Amino acid sequence: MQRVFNWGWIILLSTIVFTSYSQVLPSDSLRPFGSNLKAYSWDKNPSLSILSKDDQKEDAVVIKEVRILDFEQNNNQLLLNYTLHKRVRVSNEKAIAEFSRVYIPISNIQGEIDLSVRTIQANGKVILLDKSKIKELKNVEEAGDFTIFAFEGVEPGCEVEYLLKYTKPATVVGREMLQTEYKKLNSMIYVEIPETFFFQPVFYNCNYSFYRKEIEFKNCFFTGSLSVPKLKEETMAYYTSHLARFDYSIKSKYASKDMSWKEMSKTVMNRLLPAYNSKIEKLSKSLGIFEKTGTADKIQAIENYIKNNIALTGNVAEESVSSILKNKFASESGLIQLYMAFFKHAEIDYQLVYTTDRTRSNFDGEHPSWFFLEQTLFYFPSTKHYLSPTSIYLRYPMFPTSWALNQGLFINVIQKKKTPKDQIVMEERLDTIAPLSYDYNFSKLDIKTSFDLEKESVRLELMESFGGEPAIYYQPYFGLVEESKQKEIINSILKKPSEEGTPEKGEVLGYDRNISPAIKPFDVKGILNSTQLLQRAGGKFIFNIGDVIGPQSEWYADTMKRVLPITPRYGHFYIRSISIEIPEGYQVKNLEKLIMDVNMAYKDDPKSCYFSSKYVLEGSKLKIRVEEYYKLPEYPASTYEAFRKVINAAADFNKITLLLEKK
Amino acid sequence: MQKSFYLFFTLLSLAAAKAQLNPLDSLRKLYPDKKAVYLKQEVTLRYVFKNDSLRLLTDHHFDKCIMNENASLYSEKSVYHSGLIKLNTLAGKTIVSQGKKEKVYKNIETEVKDALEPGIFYDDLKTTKIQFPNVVPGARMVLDYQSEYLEPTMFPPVMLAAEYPILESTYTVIVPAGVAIDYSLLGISEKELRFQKTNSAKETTYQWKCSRMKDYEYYSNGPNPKKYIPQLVILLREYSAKNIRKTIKPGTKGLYEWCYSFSSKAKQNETNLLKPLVDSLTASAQNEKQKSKNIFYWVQDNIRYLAFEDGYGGYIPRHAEDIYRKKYGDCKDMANLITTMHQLAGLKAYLVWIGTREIPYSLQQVPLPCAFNHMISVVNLGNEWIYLDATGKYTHFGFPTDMIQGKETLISISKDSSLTLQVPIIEADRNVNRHQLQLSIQDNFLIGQGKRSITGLPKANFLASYHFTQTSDQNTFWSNNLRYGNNKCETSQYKLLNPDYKEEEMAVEFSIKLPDYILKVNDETFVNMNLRKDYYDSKIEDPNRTVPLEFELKSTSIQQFNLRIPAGYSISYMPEKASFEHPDFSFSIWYEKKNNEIIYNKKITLNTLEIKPSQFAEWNAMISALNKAYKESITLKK
Repeated sequence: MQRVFNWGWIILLSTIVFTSYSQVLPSDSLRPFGSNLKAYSWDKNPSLSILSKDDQKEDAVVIKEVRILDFEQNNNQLLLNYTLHKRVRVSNEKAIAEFSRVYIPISNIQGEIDLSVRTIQANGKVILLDKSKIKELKNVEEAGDFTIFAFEGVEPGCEVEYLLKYTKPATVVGREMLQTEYKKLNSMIYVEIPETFFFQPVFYNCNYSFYRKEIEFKNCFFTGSLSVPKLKEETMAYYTSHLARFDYSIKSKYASKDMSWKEMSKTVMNRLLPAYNSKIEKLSKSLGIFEKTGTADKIQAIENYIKNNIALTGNVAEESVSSILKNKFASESGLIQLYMAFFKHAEIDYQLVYTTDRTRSNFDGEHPSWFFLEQTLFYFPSTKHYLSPTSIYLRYPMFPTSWALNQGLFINVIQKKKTPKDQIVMEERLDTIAPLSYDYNFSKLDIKTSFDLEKESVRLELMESFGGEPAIYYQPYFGLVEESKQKEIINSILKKPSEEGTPEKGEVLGYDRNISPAIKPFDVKGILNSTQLLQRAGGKFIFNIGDVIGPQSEWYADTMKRVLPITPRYGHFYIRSISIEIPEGYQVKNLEKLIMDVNMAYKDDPKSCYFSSKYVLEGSKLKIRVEEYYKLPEYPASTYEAFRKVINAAADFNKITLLLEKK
Repeated sequence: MQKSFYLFFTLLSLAAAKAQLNPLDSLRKLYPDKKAVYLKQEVTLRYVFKNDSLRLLTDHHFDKCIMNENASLYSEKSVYHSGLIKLNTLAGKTIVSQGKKEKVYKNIETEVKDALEPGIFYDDLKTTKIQFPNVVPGARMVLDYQSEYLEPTMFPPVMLAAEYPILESTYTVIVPAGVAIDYSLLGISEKELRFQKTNSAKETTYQWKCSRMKDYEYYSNGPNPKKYIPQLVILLREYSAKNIRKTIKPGTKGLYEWCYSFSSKAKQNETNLLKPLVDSLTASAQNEKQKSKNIFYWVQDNIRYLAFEDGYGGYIPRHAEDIYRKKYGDCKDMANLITTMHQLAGLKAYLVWIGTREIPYSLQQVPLPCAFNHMISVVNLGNEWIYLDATGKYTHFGFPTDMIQGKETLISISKDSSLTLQVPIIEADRNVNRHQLQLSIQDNFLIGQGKRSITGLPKANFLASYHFTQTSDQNTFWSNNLRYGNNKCETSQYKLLNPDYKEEEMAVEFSIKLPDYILKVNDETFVNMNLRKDYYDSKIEDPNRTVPLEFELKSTSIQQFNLRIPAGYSISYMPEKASFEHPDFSFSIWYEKKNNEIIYNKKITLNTLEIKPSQFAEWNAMISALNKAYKESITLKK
C-alpha cells in the first residue's frame, strides 16, 4: 500500500504558498493509493501534525481528508466501495463541541461498515475507540439511518481521526461537498470506475478539476491535493449553494439513451401522468370547478380543496389518485399526481416545473442531472404564475422564494380531459423562474399620532397592510389558532412602535385564510397607547418619532469583506405615512432631521434600493412619508457597502427624536 | 442518568358511547374556541407477573375529535417507547359521521423512528409515528395502544388534563391479589373525581372518573406545566408471588433502595490511574476545601458532557476510570468520577440523586424515579455541604447550577442510609450584573470607557455562551452583550478578566462610542442616561393568566454611568429619584452631581424565582414605574 504521507510534506509546503483554491499534483501520482483500494489504511504510528501559527489559531482545521470512490461491477450491479478518511485538529471548546460527535448517514449500505476511530492527544498518546461504542440510529425523522460515535480523550490541541469504509449500490448521480466553514489543508478525492462506464464530474464554485488517466481497463480520476479555504456564513446570504463541490453522473457505455433533459422528462411523466378518473370528475363538479370562468379561479378552487383536505405525509405504499381521495393523505409525488388529475379534468393548461432550492444548489441547465429535479412547481402560461403543491402554507401565486431566480426544467403538457395517456403531447424546455415582482411584497403602515402632554403619553391609531411575503409570518396561521392566540398576534403587531404600550381595539379586516396575501393583503388595525414615546425634558418634550416605524435591522458593525451575494430573497418595499397632531401652543424643532435620502443604483435603476423620508407641515399637522425599497431578490457582493447604507438609513431613522417646545 | 420520558398527554379512553347528534356541532357549541376535543380518554393500569418479575401493563385509549377547518394538519400522532418501556400493541382508526351513519377508516400508516432529543447524543428512545386517514373537520381519531413497563416504579404520575379539553375520562388501576398500592392526587381534590373501589378474590380495582376536564394553559415564561396540571400518583407498596416477595418502603426510603440498586453497580474497579492524579491535585492543598476545589476544577477543565444512554445504562453510572480515560461522560458519570476522586483524597463525598427545576415534584408527593432526572456529587466539609455539579462547566466552586436551586436531594451515604437535604437558592446579592461607564460628550457622540462584571450563576451562563462562540464571531458576541443606548453603540478594545470558573467574578473592560443618541438643540443638550432599559417590556399582558412567571435565578442589576459635564455647560434639569419597593422585586434610580460629573445610578433586585398571579398587579406597577423613570433625560445648558 502506498504511503501518501511521504510526500504529504511537499504538498503541505506548496499549499502554504497558495492563498485560495489550490490544487497540487505530484508527477508520479496517478494511482496514489495503489491498485488495491480496499486495502487503504491510515498511518499506524500517527503523530500530531505541525501547523503554522495561523492555523493553530483557527478553532479547527481539517488536516487531511481522503475520499475514495471505487466503483466495481458485481454481476449486473455497479457497486460503490466508498472510503472516507478524515483527520481534524481541534483547538478550543467550540471546535470540540462541533467535532467530538460524528453522525454518518448509512442508508442502503450493503453488509457491514468498517469504521476505525482514534484520538491523537496533544502529548502524542493515541486513544483507539472500542468498536462496541459505535452506535446506530434507524430511520431518524426525514433523514434515514445513521452510524454515530463520540471520540474519547478529546482535549484542546488534539486531533480526531476516523477511517470509514462501506459498500452500497452505485447511484446514477452523486455529490461530494469539498468546502466547509473550516479550512482544509489537504483534501484528496480519487475515483476509479470500470471503463465500460462514463463518469462525468462537474465542479462548482471553484476552479478544481480531475486529472484523468486510463489504467488497466479502469478510468481513474484524481484531484491531487486540494487546499480548500474556509467559507463562513454571512448575513442575508445563501450559503451551501456557494460551497465548492462536485456533482457526478454515471452512465453505461452501452446505454442507448443519453442523459438529457428530454429523457428525464419522459421518465418522470410516464410515472406521473394521470388517466381520466371518474372520482375526480365527480368531485370537481361538486366543488363547482367547472362553473368558474377564470383560470386563476379554477386553480385556486383546486388548490383550496387539496391544501385543506389532503395531509402531506411520507412514503405511502401502493398509492393512486383514487386511494388518495379515499385516505385523505398523500406522499409528495401522490400530491403532484392529484393536482395533475384535477388540471386534466378542468382542462387547465399547465407546465410541470422542476428546479432546485437555491440555498443548497443552483439549477445547472448545461449538465442534465437528477439532482436538479429536486423541487416541483406548476406554471400556468395563461396567468404567468406558479403554484407550489407541497407548500402547505403558501397559496397561488406565491411559492418558496428560494426556488425563484433559478433556472428550471419546464415540461409543457398538452391534453384534453379524455386524452389517453399515450397520446399526450409533451414539450420540455429550460427557462428562468421569475420571482414575484416587488409590488406584491410590502408593508404599508398608516399612523395617526396624538399627544396627551399632561399624561406624557402618545396615542397611535395604526393601520398596517401586509402584502405577499411580509404577511407570511401571520396570514397562514392566523385562521388556524385559537382566539386568544389571534389576539396575541394582533397585539404583537400593534406593539411594534413601543413594546410597553397598551394595545386596544385590535382587529384583522376581511381575513380569508384561503386567499394568498399576494392577492388579498393581511390588514390589521388598532390603537396603541404608549407612555414611553414621549418624555418630559425640563419644560419641553422629546418625542421618539423614530420608534414609531418599529425596530429596524442594522448592519452597523464593521464586518469582514463581503464574499457572498446579498440575498433578501424577494423584492419588497415599505411605506410609512405618519401624521402627527401638534398640540396647541407648541412647535416642533429640528424638523430637518426628518429629511433623508439614501439611494443605491444598480444596473439601469438609480434607485434599485432606497430609503427616503420627507415631511410637510400643514398648520398644526405634521405629515411624514417614509419609503424604503429593495426591488430585487438578490444583489452582487460588490454592492455591499451601498446596500448597507440603505439598511442602516432605516435604522438611523429609528434614532430620530423631535423636540416639542412652547411657541 | 434517568431522564424524563415524554409520554404525550395522549391518555386514551374507550369509545363506549356513540354520539347521538353530529358531534361536531354540539362540540363547537360547548367549546367555541378550541381546535380539538378529547371525547374520551382512558388509561387502565394492570400489574401482572411475568417470569418472576412484576410488570405494569398500561392500556391507553383516546378518542379525539378534530374541529379545526384544516383538520388534516392534526392527522399525525406519535407514541414513544424504549428499551424499558415496550410498545406491545397499537391500533388506530378514523371515524367520520355521515348523518346517522358512521364510516370507519382503519388503514393507518405507521413508521418506527429513532428519536433524537436535544442534548442527548444517543439513547434508545423510539417513536412510532401514526398517520390517520381521512381526517376531516368533525372526524374522530381513535387510538388504542398498550405499553409495558419492565420497571413498574418507572411509571410516572398520570396526567389528568391535556392540551385540549376532555369530555369524559376514566382512570383504572387493577391490582391482583398479592400486590398492594397507594395513591394520591396532585392539583385536584378527590371530590372533583368520581372514585370507586371494588374488591374481589382475584383483584382490587380502583377507578376515577371525570367529566369536562379543562385543557391546561401553557406559557413559555412559566414553569413546567406539570407543576399545575392535575395528576394521579400511583405508588407500588408491595408484591408477592410464588418466587418473589418485595416490599417497597414508603417515602424516600423505598425510592432510595431502588436508586441504590443502580448506583451500587458503579463501584470503582481500579484506581491505578486515578490515585496518582488525585494525589497530584491535592498535594499542595492547604485544607480539605482546597482539595475538593482542585478536584472539582480538574473535572470541569478536562471532562466534557455527552449523554449516551440506553436501557439500564441510563441509570448506572459508568466506572470512574472509564470516564477519566474517555474524557467525557453524562451527569451521572461525572458525578461518579468526582465522588470517587474525592473519596480517594479521603474526603466525605457522596452521589446525589436530584430532579432539576423542570420536575415540579417534591419527594414527599412523588417518591418515584421520575422525580429525578439528574445526578451530582456532594462533599461534606465540617458542617457544610457543598454541591458539585460539573455539568456546569464555568460554575464557581460552592455554587450549584441554576437548574437545581431549591431542589431536594437524595444523598447516597451507604447501602442503608440516605439523607435528604435541599440545595440552597443563591441570593440576589451573589448574582450581580454590573455595568459601569465613564462618558464624555464629543460633538454628537458619547465616548468613553466601560466595564461590565458578572458574579455568581449568571457569570457561569455568560461564560458558557462566550466560550461557545467561534473565534471569528467574537466581536459580534461583544457587540450584542455590550449594548448601551441604541444599536449603533460601538465597543472595542475588549479586555477580558477571569474568563473561567476560578474566580467568583468575571469582567470585561472596553472602549465605547455612542452616536446618534444625545439630542442637541441650540444651546441645550438632552441626554437620557437610562442606557439599559431592562424589563421595559416585562409587563404581564393577559389579565386572565393563572400561571406564574418563572425566573432561572435571583439577581441584582447595578448600573453606574458617569457623564462629564462639558466645559461651559451646567445642569438645568436633573430627574428626581424614582423607586419601587416590594420584598420580592424592587428598583431605584437616582442621580447625583459630583464635581463636574453627573452620576446615574440604578439598582434592580429580583428576590424571587417566581411571580405568582396574586402578585401580577404589583409587578406590573413596578414595570410602569420603571418605564416612567426610563423616560427622563437630563438637560445641559450652555
